[in-house]
Amino acid sequence: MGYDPRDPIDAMNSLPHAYPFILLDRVAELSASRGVAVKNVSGNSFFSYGRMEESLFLPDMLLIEAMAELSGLVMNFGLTDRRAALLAAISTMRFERRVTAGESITVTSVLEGSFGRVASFIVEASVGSVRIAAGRLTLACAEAEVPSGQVVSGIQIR
Amino acid sequence: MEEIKTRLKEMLVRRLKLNMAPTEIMDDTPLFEGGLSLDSIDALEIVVGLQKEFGAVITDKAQAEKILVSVDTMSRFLSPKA
Repeated sequence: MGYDPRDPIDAMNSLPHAYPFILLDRVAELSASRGVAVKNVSGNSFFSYGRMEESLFLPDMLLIEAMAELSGLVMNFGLTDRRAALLAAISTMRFERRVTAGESITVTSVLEGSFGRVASFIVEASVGSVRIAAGRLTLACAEAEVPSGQVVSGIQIR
Repeated sequence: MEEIKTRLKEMLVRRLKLNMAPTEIMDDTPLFEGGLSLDSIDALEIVVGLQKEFGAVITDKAQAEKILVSVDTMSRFLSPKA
């Protein structure tokens, strides 16, 4: 354990991810229904940022990963035992523009609904007041990792 | 009751992106094993759909297991509220 799951900053320690795959830089707000976090896009990260027209940008898939990590924190809010929250589905996701190095992204995740160990989230990313991406994710949570085909809550996961 | 069943079948096809017509779903077709073969993610979609489209909230897992059986069981749950 060793962390306070209700503390937005300390909750980062509950993520099962290890550097360099922790995409969130700071959790600003966290509750059982909503989370807000910040992702700063750095130009000197060794992580494979894309390059297009001489500008570095954050690949869209990494933005989804940041949204999923924040949703996992919302899903685990208040739990003292770390549980893996796995990205199970991306129902919709719309990207409105790329985020380039030097920009700071605010990621928001709002719990839409949950059933058993599965929960869906309405997620959004913005730079300042400009929305850059929005969509809907589903996460599956378990005490241990749940590979495809394992039974969760008595119902088979495809 | 029939109108609710029709709306439920339309919701299932639309929200779960089922490759079938709503009329192909029988009232007693099992939602999970031996029927539509839905999974836990689909179950969540139905729970969210029932809340958003019918205003019906399912919070208890044991209750959900009795409701999410077929269109018949879901319509019986909804009939007083729809």
